Amino acid sequence: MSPAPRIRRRALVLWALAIVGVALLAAAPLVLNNYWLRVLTTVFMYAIVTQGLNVIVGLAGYHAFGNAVFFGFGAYGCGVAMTLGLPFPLALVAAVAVSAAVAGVIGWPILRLRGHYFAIATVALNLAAIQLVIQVGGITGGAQGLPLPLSDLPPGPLYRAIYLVMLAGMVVSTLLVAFILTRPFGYALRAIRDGERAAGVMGIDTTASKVAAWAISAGITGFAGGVWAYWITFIEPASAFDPAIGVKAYMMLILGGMGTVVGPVLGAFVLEFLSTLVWGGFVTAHQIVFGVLIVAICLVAPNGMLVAGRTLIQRWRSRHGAA
Amino acid sequence: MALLEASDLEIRFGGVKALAGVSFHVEAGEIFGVIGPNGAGKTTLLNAISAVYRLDGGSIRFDGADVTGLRPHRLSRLGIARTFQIVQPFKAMNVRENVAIGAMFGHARLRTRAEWLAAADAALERTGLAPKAELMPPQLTLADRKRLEVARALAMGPRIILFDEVMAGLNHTEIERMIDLVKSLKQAGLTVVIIEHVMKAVLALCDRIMVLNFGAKLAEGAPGEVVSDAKVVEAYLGQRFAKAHASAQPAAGGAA
Repeated sequence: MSPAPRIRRRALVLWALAIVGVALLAAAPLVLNNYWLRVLTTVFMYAIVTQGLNVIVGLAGYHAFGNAVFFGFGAYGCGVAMTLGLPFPLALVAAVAVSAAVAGVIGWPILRLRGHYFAIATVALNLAAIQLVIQVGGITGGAQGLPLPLSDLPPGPLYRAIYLVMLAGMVVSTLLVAFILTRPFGYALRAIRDGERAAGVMGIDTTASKVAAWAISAGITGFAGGVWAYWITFIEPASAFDPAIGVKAYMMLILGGMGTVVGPVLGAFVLEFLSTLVWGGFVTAHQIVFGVLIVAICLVAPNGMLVAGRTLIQRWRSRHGAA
Repeated sequence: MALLEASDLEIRFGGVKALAGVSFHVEAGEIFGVIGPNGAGKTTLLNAISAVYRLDGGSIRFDGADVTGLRPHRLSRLGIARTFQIVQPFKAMNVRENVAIGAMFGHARLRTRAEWLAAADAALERTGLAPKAELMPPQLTLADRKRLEVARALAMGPRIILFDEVMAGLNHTEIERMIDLVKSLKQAGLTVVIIEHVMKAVLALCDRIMVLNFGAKLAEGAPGEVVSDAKVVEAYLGQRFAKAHASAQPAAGGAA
């Protein structure tokens, strides 16, 4: 068989697998207990955050270590909007809009920075946001935190609804990344990642592309933050803008594979399940065990599981002589 | 008519003037060479024209319009393309995609995927890279990566191409092929500015030459006059080149 149809057939198989997987996950709340429902909702939430990170880090090559700042803006955007009386769906729109707008405005100056300078600027942004919420006070609740209006739904159906909203967010953000990669915009971002100067003289408006990428990244991340706020019903600056969220998403992105479509989802599933299992197995020392596991993964598969898996398959094939 | 006109270009790095008021013009359809010792400001000059660096002084006109201060992507759509001395391929895209980027963003008129790919394939054909279209840049030889730079520039449908040492590091055969390629571009009506240390290529190609030294213009004129200019021999070419050149082709000048 010539390579083109083989690739097309493989793509069809992958799409079919993905659709079956999503259908199974969508039906899962019918049989899952509350514990696993919570674990999976968390996995989806991290998959969304990681996919958001993927847009700016994986596609555009800008290392936004503090990207979880938009998780916080999303959470507060949703919380404040609901406090003002908006229903949850509209508050979620506000969460996405606020996050994207913040990235758009701040992106113009700080996306001029390259490499570790940009990375550090985003971390500073994350820390500054905590102070900002505390100082603004008022409708944000300041340092005391912000309780969100409670839902009319009883807890059972509510948690299942949130599970489905997070699942939808994961699917849509993944499809968005896949879509971007087929568009000129996706090529522009990859060109910027591999050679920004060359990209500029070849006609790419590098500033506009980077700012747009960061706004999309922030919008995706803000969505996760908004749903999370409604889920846990009480947010405070230190938990909504927790830099650890960004660090964890980074590990998931590295584990899954930067710049790939399904890598972030894969990374979120594997890392979150690992962390849950380790937590259950080593109640007192789980942080140490988990840390060692992460180091081991980075050493064995620095380019992500997808690349490591492909290399393994190629090696197996060449050893067994099968084409 | 002058296609490109630069007046009093000035670029400073801290206290150092990398370009100290350089003026020149390039006629439509000619090949204009820029030579000079390392550190003379040749690449800085290209970076100034293609807006990779911001000018500290001076102005640039292209095709009669003032383009001073325009961002690189705007210049590219007006028809100014360039290559990089240190090749900068997009390493995660194959050769064809690399070239298609030029058509996709740098071309003023192409709008559809089919047009981008057609322009990319035409550029690959012209540069002899067509058989390697599906390879990844790290799999190419240096000569092919230099050709990839040229192909990417061509796919933008430019009116002028600025070449930054496309011959550097190539062997004799590869240099001959690159000289033929640049000649064919001129025949196709393109205007070319070429920065080069390989004097054989400079003499074979250029209609006029400008010599830079310490960020200023040292000489300008037909190749034959410039290479026998005492100041140029002193600053850049050296006595050995002057003697060899004088005995080899006593009346060199113009395009070969």
